[in-house]
Amino acid sequence: MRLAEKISIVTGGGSGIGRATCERFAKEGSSVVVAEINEVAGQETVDLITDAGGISNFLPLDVTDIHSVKAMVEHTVNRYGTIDILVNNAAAFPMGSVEDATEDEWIHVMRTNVIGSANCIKEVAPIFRKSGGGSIINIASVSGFMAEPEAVPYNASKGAVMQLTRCTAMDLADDHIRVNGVCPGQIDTAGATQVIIDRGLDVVEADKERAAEALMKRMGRPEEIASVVLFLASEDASFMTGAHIVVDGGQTID
Amino acid sequence: MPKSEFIIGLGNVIKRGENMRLQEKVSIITGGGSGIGRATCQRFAKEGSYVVVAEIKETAGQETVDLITDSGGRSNFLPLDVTDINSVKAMVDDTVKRYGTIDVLVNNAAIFPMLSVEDATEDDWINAMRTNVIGYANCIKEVAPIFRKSGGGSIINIASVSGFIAEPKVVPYNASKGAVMQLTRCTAMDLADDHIRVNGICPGLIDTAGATQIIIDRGLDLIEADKERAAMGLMQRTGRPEEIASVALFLASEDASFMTGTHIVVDGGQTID
Repeated sequence: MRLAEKISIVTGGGSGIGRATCERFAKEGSSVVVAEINEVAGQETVDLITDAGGISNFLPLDVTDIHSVKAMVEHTVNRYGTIDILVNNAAAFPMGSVEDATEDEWIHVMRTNVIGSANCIKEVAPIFRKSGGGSIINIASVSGFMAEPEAVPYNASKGAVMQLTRCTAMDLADDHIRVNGVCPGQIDTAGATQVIIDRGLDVVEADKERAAEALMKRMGRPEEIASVVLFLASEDASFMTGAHIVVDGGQTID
Repeated sequence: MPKSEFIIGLGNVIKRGENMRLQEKVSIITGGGSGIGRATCQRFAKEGSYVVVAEIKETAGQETVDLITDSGGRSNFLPLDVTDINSVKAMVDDTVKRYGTIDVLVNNAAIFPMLSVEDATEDDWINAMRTNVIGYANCIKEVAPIFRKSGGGSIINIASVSGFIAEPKVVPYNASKGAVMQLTRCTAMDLADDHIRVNGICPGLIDTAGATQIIIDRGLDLIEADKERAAMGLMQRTGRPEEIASVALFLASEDASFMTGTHIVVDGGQTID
């Protein structure tokens, strides 16, 4: 077990990459706090873990509300004594061109995807500092460094997440806190499917196109991101900080 | 007493199998006689892989093999000059004869010419490119047909942060590592349909005998140079070879199944500013 006795918080742990990460972490021996705005989904992840013999509990979390973040972190420390790993995964997926996006949409995506992650780091850092270190993994995206049509608020937010990773890695290095990011490509999640439906696109056709983008000619599975997050959380990544791992089946090398 | 020993023994065997991340895999590591190469050989063997230590220096390579077999792992030495395609062919042939197939190739054998553009002779340039770039390409060329036949495989190229940053008076080395990064991306593209993943690692300053030798060769003070090297990363220390081996293991394993054409920078934060 590669995370034996560790305490991990995974935000947005109710579905997709977040849920797969929760399940993998629990399998590797970590106690997992499923921090999620959607209580039913979060509790479902907890049930999946506990049914398989893992240790997990649900805590409600709205990353845009610093009081909610504070309460989540305090509950975690009260319950487990400390925190070792934070996975910033909770995100919003607004699609639209610069002309379509309203100021409110911009503010919402930045508050959720960027400031939400910053809020969680802010509240967890003092706990890590006290315990002598920790590992933070931010789920960014290939959308953080490439252009895609009519996705500017989302892509701008993910670019900001990548800079959040680098700058917090620098500021927290002396406290032995490692901060790294993962940049998934096209991953087969319910969230991604919902975006396709919301845009009025044909799901089968869109999935075919998504699969064709990677050299591997397929989409990734959430478990294939969870395994990378596990690597970054573990001692195997002990000399890594401020780095991003691109996990996209070769989508962005050309 | 014998009974309980048997039970403990059996338990260990089962647990060992479950935890091993390269169980029954066959891996070739070039330049496996020292530094990052040796650490990778040892880690792969610990994770259940058969390890071919392919090395130009027989004594160093055999030493790695002994370290592995002494701790219960499975390994053998094969002589390899990556600049000689016949040597590469013989190494690959011998490996297939012995183990039946190959699953993982780690391209690690490299030379470290430290020279400015005005100091470097054409021979210096050719040596750097033949070993660090064409040597990697030679090994991929000979291993690819084996991977194709067995339905896939994983190739890990040891590049360097020197592949994308400038450093003083190391132009042939840094140019060769930049070329390695493009070798990774282009072979990832060409081999993707055959389910061959190709990824790279960019180590920062790692504490190896090879790196120490360069410092000595340049006539620098070792303690002072190590202090400077440590100060370059945000972590204020040099990395250990084992901290690169663990990344190579990750890329070789199923945990990296959706990764190809990617580089992982492992530099303690040296290059983010």
